[in-house]
Amino acid sequence: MQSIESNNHQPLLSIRGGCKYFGGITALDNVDIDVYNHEILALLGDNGAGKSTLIKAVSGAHTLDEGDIFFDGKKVSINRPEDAYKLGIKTVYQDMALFGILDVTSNLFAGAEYTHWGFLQKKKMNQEAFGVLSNLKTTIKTLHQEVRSLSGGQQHAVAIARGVYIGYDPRLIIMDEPTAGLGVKQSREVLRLLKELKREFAIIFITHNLDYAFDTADRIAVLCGGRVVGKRLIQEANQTEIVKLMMGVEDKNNQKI
Amino acid sequence: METVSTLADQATVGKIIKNGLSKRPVQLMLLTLLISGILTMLTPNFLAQSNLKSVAMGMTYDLIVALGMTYVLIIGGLDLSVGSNIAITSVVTTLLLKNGVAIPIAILAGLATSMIVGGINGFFITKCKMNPFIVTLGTMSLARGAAMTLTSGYFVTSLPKGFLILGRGEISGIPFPVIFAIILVIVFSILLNRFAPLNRGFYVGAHPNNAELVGINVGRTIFTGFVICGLFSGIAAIFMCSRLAMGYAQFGLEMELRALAAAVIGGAGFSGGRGSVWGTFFGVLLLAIINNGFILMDASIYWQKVVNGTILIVAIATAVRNLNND
Repeated sequence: MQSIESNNHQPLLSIRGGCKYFGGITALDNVDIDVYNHEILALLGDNGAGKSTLIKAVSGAHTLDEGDIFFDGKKVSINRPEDAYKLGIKTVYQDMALFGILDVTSNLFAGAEYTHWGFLQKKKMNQEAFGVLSNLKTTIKTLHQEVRSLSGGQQHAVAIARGVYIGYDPRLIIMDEPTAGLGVKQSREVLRLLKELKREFAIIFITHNLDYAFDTADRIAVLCGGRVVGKRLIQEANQTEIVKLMMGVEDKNNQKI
Repeated sequence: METVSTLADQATVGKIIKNGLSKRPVQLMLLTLLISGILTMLTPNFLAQSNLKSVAMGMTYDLIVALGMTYVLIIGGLDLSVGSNIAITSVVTTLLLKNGVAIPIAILAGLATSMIVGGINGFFITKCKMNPFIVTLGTMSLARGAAMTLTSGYFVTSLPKGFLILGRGEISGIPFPVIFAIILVIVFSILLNRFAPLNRGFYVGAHPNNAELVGINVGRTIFTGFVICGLFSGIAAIFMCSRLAMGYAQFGLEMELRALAAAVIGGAGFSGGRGSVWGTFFGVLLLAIINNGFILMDASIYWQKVVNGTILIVAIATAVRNLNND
């Protein structure tokens, strides 16, 4: 850990001693995590390792039972998704969290509608939706079609556009399995987008795909059984070791970074 | 170049017509016009002012209640207690009036009662995570039972004259309740589509978990939805008491079925996230005109029930089929 802190910039997001219990099950066990600006942190782990619980705690869908979250050096409490939004923590969920029967604009602005005295500013939202989707170079033809009628790639574009550009300005973007269900070409497109976004923001990238993690990430954190079992700078990491960590093989250098 | 732009224009006009025809309210409006046309040819009385007035008055209560039902369906719920809510609200209001309570206070107390019934529904559904069908089936019985207990089954009459104006007053021949219902349709349709706190009901109904993830307070939206639905039943009850000059524990019988049928015909479904004020308006109008046709053609009132039931089943079957397709 010292090596990074001596890096002379403070983490954008830190979690210290994060614990989360569901009944008798310990979903997160004393988790310490740091995320820095202009870096991609790849969060790796097998199913049930605690990745989802961890990002849900950061995005406000869950609250930690124990432990502290620091954002920009200040201790914060994230109890609801809105708390996270206000800090600039935006999440693109694995299942994209879209509303299939609602139209594109409604999906983009879900929970972050532009209002004036409580009334929706539909024109403004449609204009911005058009602009954002044009920027992402999507092939979506009309904003008024139901999202479920879009292709998988187009739906991802809507989810990412919502996660990144709509509402509060983003500072930390959490991408939960953004390549799940995508073809190779579309996945490459998403990875390109991740590297693009890194110029401006901090990113947590959750993936099962080690190649994608090594291709894009600056650092890797491995979760296993709700604990952080390894943290590596990408230059110091090798795939065999990461796989071992993911499988639950003990790591003696746990506290190295 | 010119040919291209002309083609594009034609496509746009065609698209607008196609879009319009694919919208449920437009389809229902055309169907209503068709049935009205047939009725006009079959019976000369259909277009008589007195008949149109009775159709309008007859559909007013159903319309107000069906608007509340529509919102509850949009948020992914269901409210079977609307008819019983009318009964308890009518009884509370009229008992207070009969005992000399000032008219505005009695009305407010009645409306508060209806909102409490809605609030009870909302509480058990959001806090205890109970199924809306079960909860509202319970309050349906509870509210009706309370109304019967309070009145021992008798009418509550001898209401002050001032109170009767609400239901019986007219402006150029149009009864107050009809005017109110029309204003309510317009205002509620604007609010539902434009006012963010109400509009969020669509997100909640379309996908409650995702709505929670994007920061929408799902519990509060559902609770409020049931309170609004209760309030609409209460408003219908006040007009009903005023127009009929009494309160009665049997008011609003089977209202839930008609409101449900109208909302579902109008495009609302059991999967939530769907429904429109104008769709429901034409749904209520369609049912009212069909019933009116029965009356004009001297068909038996029992047949009327059979047809109403059939329409309800067909409408719900369609909604369930759409649900399965989702």
